[in-house]
Amino acid sequence: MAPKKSKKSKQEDSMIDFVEEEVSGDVDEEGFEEAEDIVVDSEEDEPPKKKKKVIKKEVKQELELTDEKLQELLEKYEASKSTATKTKDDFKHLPKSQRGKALKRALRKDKRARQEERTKIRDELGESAPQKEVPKTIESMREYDATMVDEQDDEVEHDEANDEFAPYFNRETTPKVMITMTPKAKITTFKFCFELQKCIPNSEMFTRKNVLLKTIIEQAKEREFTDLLVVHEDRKKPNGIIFCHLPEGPTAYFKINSLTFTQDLKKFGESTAHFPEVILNNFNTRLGHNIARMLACLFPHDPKFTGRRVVTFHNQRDYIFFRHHRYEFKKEGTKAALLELGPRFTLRLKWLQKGTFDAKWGEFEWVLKRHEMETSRRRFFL
Amino acid sequence: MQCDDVTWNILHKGQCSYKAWSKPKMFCRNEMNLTGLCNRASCPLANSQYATVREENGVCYLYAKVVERSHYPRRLWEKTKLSKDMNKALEQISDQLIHWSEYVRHKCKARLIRIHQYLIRMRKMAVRGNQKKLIPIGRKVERREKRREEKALVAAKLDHAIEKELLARLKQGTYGDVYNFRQEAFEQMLENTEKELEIEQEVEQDDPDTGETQFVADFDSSDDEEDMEDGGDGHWSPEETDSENEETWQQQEEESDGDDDGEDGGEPMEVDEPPKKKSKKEVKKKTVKKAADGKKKKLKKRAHVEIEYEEEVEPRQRVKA
Repeated sequence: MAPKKSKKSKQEDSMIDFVEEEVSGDVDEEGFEEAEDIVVDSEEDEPPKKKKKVIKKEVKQELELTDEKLQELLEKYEASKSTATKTKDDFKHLPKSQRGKALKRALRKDKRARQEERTKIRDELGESAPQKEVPKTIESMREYDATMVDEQDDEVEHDEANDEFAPYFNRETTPKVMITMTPKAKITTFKFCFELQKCIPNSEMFTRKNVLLKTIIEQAKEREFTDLLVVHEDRKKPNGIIFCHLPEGPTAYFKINSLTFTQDLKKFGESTAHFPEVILNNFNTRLGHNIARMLACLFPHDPKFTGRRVVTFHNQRDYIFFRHHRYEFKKEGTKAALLELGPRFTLRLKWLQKGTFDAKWGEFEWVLKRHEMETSRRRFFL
Repeated sequence: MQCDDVTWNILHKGQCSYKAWSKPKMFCRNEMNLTGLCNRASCPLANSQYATVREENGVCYLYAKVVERSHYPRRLWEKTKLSKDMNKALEQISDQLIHWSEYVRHKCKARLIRIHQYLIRMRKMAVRGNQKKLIPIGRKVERREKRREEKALVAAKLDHAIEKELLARLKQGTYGDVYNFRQEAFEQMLENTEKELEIEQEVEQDDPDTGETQFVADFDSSDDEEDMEDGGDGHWSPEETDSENEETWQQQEEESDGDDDGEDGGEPMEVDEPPKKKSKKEVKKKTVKKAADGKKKKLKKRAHVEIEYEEEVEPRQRVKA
């Protein structure tokens, strides 16, 4: 013990010397603080056990306080959550025409105040704070669908390994897409087809020339096309797409909503010929999986990452939003900047048919029927 | 009493519910009208003797009315089925309306021909099968869908979702070597560079020793150099340990012996080798060059000879085989 003490004393001496030097320099306050620290250190060295006891007592007191306080705070928290303090009776002094507005304003203010109160209580409670409630959105309240796909489902995996798109995902086929439109299509439809052609690599556009769809399908099969897109129009504007996977794949009909051409976007870039990446978001059910796989089949296998092109099909509440971007990673890969390239439009699935297009005798896998199926706002199929 | 002129005057100048007003001519909406025009000759109401041709489900009928039945509204029209063959049907019409006015007879035949034409076209279209079925769009449904789409678009937060997905892919490493700022790769790079730095430091410490050996190497082979290197290791190992604690020094020395052996086999050897090789090579090259100068001349001469030998040898083998 003796040598240690001597060492400490030496250290203290040296520290004090150091402090004196600092004081003799410019900064007075810092020097004093350090001196105080040293004093404290020496105290701790002399009666270490007593100090610890004192600290323990303090901790115990705090714990007791929290035990009592906890329930109070929790009650307060619940209270602040549940009730609004203002009612419409508070505004009877106002003329009738102003009561509603005043009440709304007051309620909003009250809501904010209660929120702040809750955050304060939450800070006080620390770890023992009650869990924050998850906001109730249409997505989170979605009605249960029996065909929701889990990540590890052998049956689904087996089915998907043997469906019509399997050759694409096994890299046996390379996508080659044919784009046509209704006979006697008008200029906007052509424009839309051109834009589609830009988005989808390895795609060819043909005018329809009043040929039947079934014969077109046969010809496309002969020329080894893997997909067929037929754009339908109404009142000179594209309003639907028949999407047929070849040679034997399913056929889907999508309605096109809110189509915006590249030229009409506020800010747009020029598309490049690189193979794009594909993002398919939120396709959760079996049907959704099928549609997603179908859409993925349009694009070639190995995207060129140097092109930084990305095509997105984002499903939200059964609306499939199509976007086409060029991205750039910024700030050392913590952010991605996006520049929109292509058209934007929204697809809504109307029906899905097994086999190639056959309107009369085809076997429909799924048809959107308004009265039977749209029973709730929270029921989605994709 | 039927009085056609009076009815016509009333209908034409007054009110007629079948009148259809349009710019160049007035039309008639009455089903029994022969021409579809609103005039005195083809008005089915103002003519007591009247005939027309109608098509019902692909079959043509001749309708004729006469003054004698005008007071029996139930039996007013005489309906005769016409043949499917158009020529026969035309004959039928001319037989039936034999004493009628030329206008009615002619117009009936014209109407029959017209009907036959459109029936043929209908059948053709049905056979071709590119008929479109028009489906009405519910205006309210459309409006509701549009509103829901807008809300879904807001809820989707598309840009955010896309960015998130892209960043996830970046983290996952799908982009491979395209980007340098992947954190793991960056850290790996840092580690690698640190190792390289260490090695370089060692090399720098080795260098003076090896420099000495290089002088010696000119005389003879590399055995001497290795001896000198071993001695060199012994020199610098305590220098490194000087910076560390004194207690661990002895242990480290013991370990360092083992380490040195390992290091001799491993990293420093690799680093040391190139100068040695150079020295060896330099020696060898000089000797080789000297020899080669002599050999090359010989080789060139020999080459010609050898080829001749081969040619001589091969046929013998073939013979043996």
